[in-house]
Amino acid sequence: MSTQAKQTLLVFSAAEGLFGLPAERVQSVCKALPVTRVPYLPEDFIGVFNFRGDLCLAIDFATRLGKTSKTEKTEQVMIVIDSKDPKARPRGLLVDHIERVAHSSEISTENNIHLLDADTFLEGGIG
Amino acid sequence: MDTFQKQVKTAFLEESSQLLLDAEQQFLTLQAVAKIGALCPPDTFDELFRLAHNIKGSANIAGFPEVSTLVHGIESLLGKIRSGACNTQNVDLLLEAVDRTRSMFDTLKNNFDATFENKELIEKLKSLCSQEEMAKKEPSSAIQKETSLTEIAQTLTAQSTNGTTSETVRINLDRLDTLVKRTGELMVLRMALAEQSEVAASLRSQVLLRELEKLSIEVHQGTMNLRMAPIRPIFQNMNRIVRETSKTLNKNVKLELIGDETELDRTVLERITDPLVHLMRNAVDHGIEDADSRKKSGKLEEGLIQLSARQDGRGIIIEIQDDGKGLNPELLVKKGIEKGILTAGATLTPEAAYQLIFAPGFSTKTDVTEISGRGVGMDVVKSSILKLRGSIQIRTELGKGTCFTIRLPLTLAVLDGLVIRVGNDKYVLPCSAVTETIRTPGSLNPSSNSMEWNGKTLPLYRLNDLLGKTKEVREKAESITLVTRDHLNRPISLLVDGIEDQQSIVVQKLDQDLELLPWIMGGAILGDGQPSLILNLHSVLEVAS
Repeated sequence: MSTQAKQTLLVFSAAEGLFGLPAERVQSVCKALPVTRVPYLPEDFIGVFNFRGDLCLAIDFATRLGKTSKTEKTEQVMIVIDSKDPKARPRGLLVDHIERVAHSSEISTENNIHLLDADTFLEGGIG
Repeated sequence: MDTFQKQVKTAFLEESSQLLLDAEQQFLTLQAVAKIGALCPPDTFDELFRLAHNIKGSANIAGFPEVSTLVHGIESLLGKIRSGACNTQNVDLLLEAVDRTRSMFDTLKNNFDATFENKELIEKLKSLCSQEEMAKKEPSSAIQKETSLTEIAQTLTAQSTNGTTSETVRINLDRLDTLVKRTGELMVLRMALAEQSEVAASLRSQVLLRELEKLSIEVHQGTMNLRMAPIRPIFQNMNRIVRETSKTLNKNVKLELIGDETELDRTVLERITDPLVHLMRNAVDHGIEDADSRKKSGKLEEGLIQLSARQDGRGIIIEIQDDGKGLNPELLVKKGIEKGILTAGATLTPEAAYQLIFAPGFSTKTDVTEISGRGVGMDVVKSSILKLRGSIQIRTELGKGTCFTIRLPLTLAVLDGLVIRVGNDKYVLPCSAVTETIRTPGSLNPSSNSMEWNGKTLPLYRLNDLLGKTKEVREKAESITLVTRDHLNRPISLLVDGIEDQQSIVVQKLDQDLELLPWIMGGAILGDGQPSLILNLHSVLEVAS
């Protein structure tokens, strides 16, 4: 987690916390899509989903943080995030709710929004 | 460097790589001639001068003077050889220079500004030329023949009337891939439409759907054909592999190429090169005996490897046949026990023993050489071929030779798939991997590890267990049994929760990290839009065990 100035953020709730993600990296937000599990991957990789004709990998945010979501699966939301590498597929992040769009200046320990480093969070872990 | 310059350089490297491959073929003719001390065929020289001159001239235009200088050295030595002084020393040096040129092309493809140290090689070329007057012979004069203008006109007319010239268009591969992807989506949409109940109930809709189906299949097949390319460049590259390997091992080996005009999907071509290189090196190193052993066995001193390709039904067959010593099943079993792959006292049929060479860490070579003997490779060869949805089989006869038969699909873009249900997920198995599907006998003990099939007792696996899905709730659990084969080609039975469909699957690319997983052959979007994965059963069995 790190902070950065003058950014528009998508704020979501998951794992009993609030997190902000740079809005420019968000390609889409959709209701939880059907996912097919990929065998032998760690539990936080929940599987692949069909995003506009491409099969993309989805990550469960709460599981990755070692927690369990209390929201019903059908009510959860998938945030589709562009990869840093333009040739790579976007990845889905399964979260509880989308809260609002905020400005990075609002990020503080007082309102309890943590800025998410998407690249560090989305990459790695498969091997 | 502006965009135009970059385009010129890229075009030069693409075109000249092909010219270099053509040249290598001609050099191999020269090599054969040099070995027996015969006169060099003038056509070979004409072609070589033409190719070298083209590369040299284009290299200057593209701004690669170092390439031009080296190819000029090749031309000069060719001039000397043309005068009659053709020997293996000269031809070997020329081949070395051709290899260096290829290496330069490979480097330049990644870095246009790369520089090279060719001084020593150019000096060698010069030293062989310098004492000969023929070194000054210009290529343009070298290819001149006493041909009348009338003959040239006749030749050109014959070429145009025979239709030997065809119009072609260069297409960027990314654009082609986008087109292939879109036509794949068209197929998926067509399947989704067919599953709509309104469509199924209307006769008129059914007729239109059939028309749409016919058209979309034609468009898809036409698009797939655009991706097909001949296997020739890869086969020609094998000449170099065999030449270098046999030189290193001091063996005398001849390579025969058959059916190099056979076409394959470009993606298959890209991925089959490494396994073929490995098999060719193995054929020279492990297959072909040294000259003394061959003499004692009453064989020709020169070993023979045949590399062939042909289309067979909906696939391609590539064979690597050598006339070497063949595989010894007893020796393989002994090594298998020594390596801990088999338990002491194990006995195997010869066919099962041959499969041991594909086991990880298996090698019968006692010496580790640069070529092989590290016990890695053949397992990678097999897994690479399986990843291509292909198979590899061995036919061998002790003392007579070995033949590896590789079967590959024509394309990786579409496969006949069996959609199976495992827990709450649907996966796809290639139909080619399934021998038979049967309803699971009601009498089957839930904890049983074997099942009777056609009078045989087969090991029984549960795909739920293999994929770690035992905790999931299943409605009609394990109602279907598939008969398939394991990684040692032994029949096994496999319980799944159900079969959903059998359909033509358009294979989707996956996230780059998932592409690396050996148990996943690709992705699929089913007719109802559901995501699915194509499983590599052999790899699943290996991982699970």
